[in-house]
Amino acid sequence: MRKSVIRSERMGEEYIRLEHESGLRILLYPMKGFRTAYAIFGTDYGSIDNCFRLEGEKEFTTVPDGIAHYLEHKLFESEDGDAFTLFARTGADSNAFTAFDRTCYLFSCTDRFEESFRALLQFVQAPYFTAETVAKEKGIIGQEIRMYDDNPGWQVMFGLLTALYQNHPIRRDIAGTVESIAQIDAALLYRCYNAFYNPANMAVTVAGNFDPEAAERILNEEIKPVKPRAVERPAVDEPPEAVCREAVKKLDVSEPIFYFGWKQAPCADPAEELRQQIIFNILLDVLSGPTSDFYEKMNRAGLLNQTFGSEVFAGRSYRALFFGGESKDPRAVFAAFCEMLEEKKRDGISEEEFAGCKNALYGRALRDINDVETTANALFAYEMMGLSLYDVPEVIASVTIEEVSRALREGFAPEARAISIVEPNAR
Amino acid sequence: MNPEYPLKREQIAEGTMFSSIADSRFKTNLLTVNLVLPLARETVTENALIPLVLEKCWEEAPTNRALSRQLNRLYGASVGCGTVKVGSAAALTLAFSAIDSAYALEGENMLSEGAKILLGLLLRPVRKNGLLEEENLALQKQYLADTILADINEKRSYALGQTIRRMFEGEPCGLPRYGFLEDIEKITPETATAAWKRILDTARIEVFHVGMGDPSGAKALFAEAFAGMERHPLPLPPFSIHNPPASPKEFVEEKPVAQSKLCMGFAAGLDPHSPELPAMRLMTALLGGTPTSKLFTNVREKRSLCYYCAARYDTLKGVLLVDSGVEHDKAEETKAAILEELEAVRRGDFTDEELEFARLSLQNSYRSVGDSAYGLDSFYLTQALLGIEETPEDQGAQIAAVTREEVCAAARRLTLDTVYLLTGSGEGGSLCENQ
Repeated sequence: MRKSVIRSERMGEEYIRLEHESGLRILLYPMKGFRTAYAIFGTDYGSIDNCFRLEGEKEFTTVPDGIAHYLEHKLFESEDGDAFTLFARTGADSNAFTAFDRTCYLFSCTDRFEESFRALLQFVQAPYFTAETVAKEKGIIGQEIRMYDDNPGWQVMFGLLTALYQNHPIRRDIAGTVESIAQIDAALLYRCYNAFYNPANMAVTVAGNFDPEAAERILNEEIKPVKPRAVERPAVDEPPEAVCREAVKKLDVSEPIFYFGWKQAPCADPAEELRQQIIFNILLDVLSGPTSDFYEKMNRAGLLNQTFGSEVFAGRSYRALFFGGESKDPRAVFAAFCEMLEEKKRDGISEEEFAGCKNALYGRALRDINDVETTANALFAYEMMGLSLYDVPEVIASVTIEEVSRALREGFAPEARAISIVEPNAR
Repeated sequence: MNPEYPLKREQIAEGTMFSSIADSRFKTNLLTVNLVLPLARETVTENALIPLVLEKCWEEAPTNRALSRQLNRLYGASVGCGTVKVGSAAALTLAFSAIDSAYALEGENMLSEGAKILLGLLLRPVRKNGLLEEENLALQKQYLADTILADINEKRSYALGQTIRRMFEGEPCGLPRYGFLEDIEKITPETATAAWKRILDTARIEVFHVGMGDPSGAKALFAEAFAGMERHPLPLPPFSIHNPPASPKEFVEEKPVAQSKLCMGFAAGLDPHSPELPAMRLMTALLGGTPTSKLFTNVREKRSLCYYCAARYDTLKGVLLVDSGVEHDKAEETKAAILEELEAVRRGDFTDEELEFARLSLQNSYRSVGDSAYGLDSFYLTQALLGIEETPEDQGAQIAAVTREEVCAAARRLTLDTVYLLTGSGEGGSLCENQ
């Protein structure tokens, strides 16, 4: 394995990066004094990867929505039982999740790390899907989907994604629908598994209380030599315009819940993309954070309360700016926000506002590397972008007010915006 | 006194304790002021409101915007408030969290800064003619009302809350955490100011620090602030054992929901100091606390009835709750399946392996408590309020000693008290009307 040590002078910390012959990337971050070790084995494959072509194939294959998530559930099952049992033997706490652009299997433990780590590496590399086991999961995932049907936060976010995105698969629910998962069978699961669970498409990250040499030895023993095989996703033809201005849904909620936002085109270069995300993070805080004119005005007018927040929503092949909360009049909030944007573009951002928000983001970035779970997840996310988590504080420190001002002028195209509202049912 | 006990406690004034866990692993410090008061119908709403009013501003940062700027200068420090029920008491919390001085670029003493802000929020709120400022009060009254109404938005937690309320009808610990809508309207600057003073006068105060910094400066500030105050802290209400009804109470509530939420409350008849507690905790893990538990493997995996079916034990109420999200027409079947699994545990119908898995999982969680500052804060605050001096490791060791027979006996202690079902004919949201 090729080995390097990644250091941060600023934080006085370091971690190990390994590259296995198979192309698997491994990040080991021992953290002194912690009792817990937290390990992730994940793949660069999520709900948005519903169409692909393997190296050597002619045609693209489109698979049912929700299949990455379905696969995640089924990978826990093996010929002789389920993977939860393997971790139960050591007392480790195991889980998995599927996001838009990745799927991760993980455990945390305070004892017998090596056994659990071996179990993680083994079960993710040993798919076992049969007609019977696949059928059994439909009821369970069906109830997971039903649970999200009643979840206003989830529904309002997907309302916005479907209003913003015309073609990008980000507009489809991670778990799919009861209808789409009905089409999933063992053969399709194997096909997706073979395409995306190639070590070259995957990474292992471990943070906390463990011996990195033991981890390296176990990796050498357990990672199966699989020939890297490139998988290609079609380029998404996503126009810059939103699909529609407004999406409304009715649910059993106390007050309207909203999400509004702007669709953006992400940068191809990962370092530039990270920089843009950080610039927009600072900008969003300047524009609508608790120190902003906008929030104070809306709050005093009784239109926004402290549930309001913003985020740079970004991942592989997508980026958008989101603002969400509860309000008795979301349309008035959206209109006021758009008006404020024009004023800010005209009047500019003050040095004081910029410095305050930048300082705050810097402090929060340092606080993030404070527990094993956040560290392991951040290691994974930045590795998938081709970056290191230490890049974040460095970039924050170097962002200028000119960059943030430019982002304000160029980041909010009027045709790229939409609002999603979940309204209370008529009573 | 256990000399190894990591929590260093000191009385700094009448009814006021300062506790600290110095821990160099964290790059941060967490400082919380917890005002602990008995729960009562008359005061529950006011008590929930006051922290929301106090967290927004103080004399030196007289608007929320000014306070946010002050926090930005302290490297994105955060201030928050919360209300949690601790059995028949409520703990009202103001919290400050920030990076440690070691990482501060200008060499600020971050902990002392945090203590100054918390003391400012608590003792020097913005007032006009001696009364809490009206606009902030009105906004936070509205926010509290929104929060109470929004309880319905998250159906799983709503169902759990409804079950507790119905199970403890008429008892203090059945009171809703945020109080009652109808009480909010009646609150005026005069009554709110009186409530603030009453809380300061009668609360037992627990200040907690967890982090890498030296808390002596912060402690001195707190000691100085409280030393001159004549306070009359109320004793915490004693734990009272909840008596289940002769036959279980059943409730069905209809709402337009896509999924039904089934929730079952069992009375355990155990107080928080009971020697049977470790067995009850282990029994809960075996029944429905892990992915190898009875409920997960049978109700979810074998019968495919649900995505979640879990059991949790609330030490401070002496109650076990089981909940699940199911198809509307599967609620009865799920309820029967849950009772069947409980019956199996009572009979001892579980393997040694299943019991061992539950034990290992629970011990793992006890060992993990110390890895999070918030986990430490909440674990040791509960210990302090109960007057118990046990570390998470001590509780893990108690789990090691529990026998199979004690687990069965714990399951037999449980009496089904309340069954609550949230159900309806909803299909989730109606279709998007894109315009």
